[in-house]
Amino acid sequence: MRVMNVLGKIIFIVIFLVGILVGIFVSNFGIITRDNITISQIITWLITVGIAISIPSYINKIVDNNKNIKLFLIKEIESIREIVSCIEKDLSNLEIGDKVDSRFQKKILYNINKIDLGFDVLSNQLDNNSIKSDLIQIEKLKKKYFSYYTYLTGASNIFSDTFLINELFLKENLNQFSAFELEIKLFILKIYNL
Amino acid sequence: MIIDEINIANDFSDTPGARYKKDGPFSGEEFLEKHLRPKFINGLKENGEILIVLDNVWGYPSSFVSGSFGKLSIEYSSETVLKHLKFKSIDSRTRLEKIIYEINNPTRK
Repeated sequence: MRVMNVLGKIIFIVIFLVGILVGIFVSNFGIITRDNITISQIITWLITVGIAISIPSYINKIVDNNKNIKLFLIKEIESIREIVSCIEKDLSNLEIGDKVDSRFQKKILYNINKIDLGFDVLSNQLDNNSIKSDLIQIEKLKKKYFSYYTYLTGASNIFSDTFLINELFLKENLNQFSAFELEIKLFILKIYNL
Repeated sequence: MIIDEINIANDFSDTPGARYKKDGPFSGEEFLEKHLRPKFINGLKENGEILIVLDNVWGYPSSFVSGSFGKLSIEYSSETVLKHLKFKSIDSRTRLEKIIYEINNPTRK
């Protein structure tokens, strides 16, 4: 940091000295004179040069920012997808007729909490950035997640002490998971296409 | 104006269970009968709000939410429930949204 400050000062002094030298050169050798150039022309020229330099760098900055935000959103949604896959992998290890113990139930809730936090981060990013959140439609994705969550931890009755893994549960859970996963993929595609 | 509070983790359990009492301990039905409905009715009478603190639990099975908040919504309408219940969740905004979603779209089971 200190080296950068010293370097900045050196560059400033060099530019300042070059400016003086150019001024001396121009006044002595008369490349342009005060007679054929007006102050307003100088100002116009300076503004033009300023705009020519600043606009491309400003656009580059916006493009870079959007690119970073998009990469961040994709990374976040990919991590949600990994957690959902984790839940499904655990479920696939159960056999029909197996009882779901409290340790397994807690693991599901733990993973659901992680998904919730992932959605919190996504929502915050979309709220705080210029990215076109209306085109991404996070609400649609959330709705699919809520359906998945509602079936897995509610309608299926998996948290009941009397619940046993059965075909109907596996089938319906797979339907809900597939619908949610498809929406995740569409969401990623929408971000890529922004 | 908030007149009362239910901190689910402290007042009930940090591991909310299933829908009905017959499903096991700390069910939504038990929570509804012991805590939620009595305080909600009191809130209705006094035209006040009850603050529900959702943090510091393992998580909320949808069956618990449905058996408590969803059932209350079926009994009193989602507008009335949301008028008299206020929710607080520092842990997660999505968790809070899921509970409000259940109140607005209660599972009739």
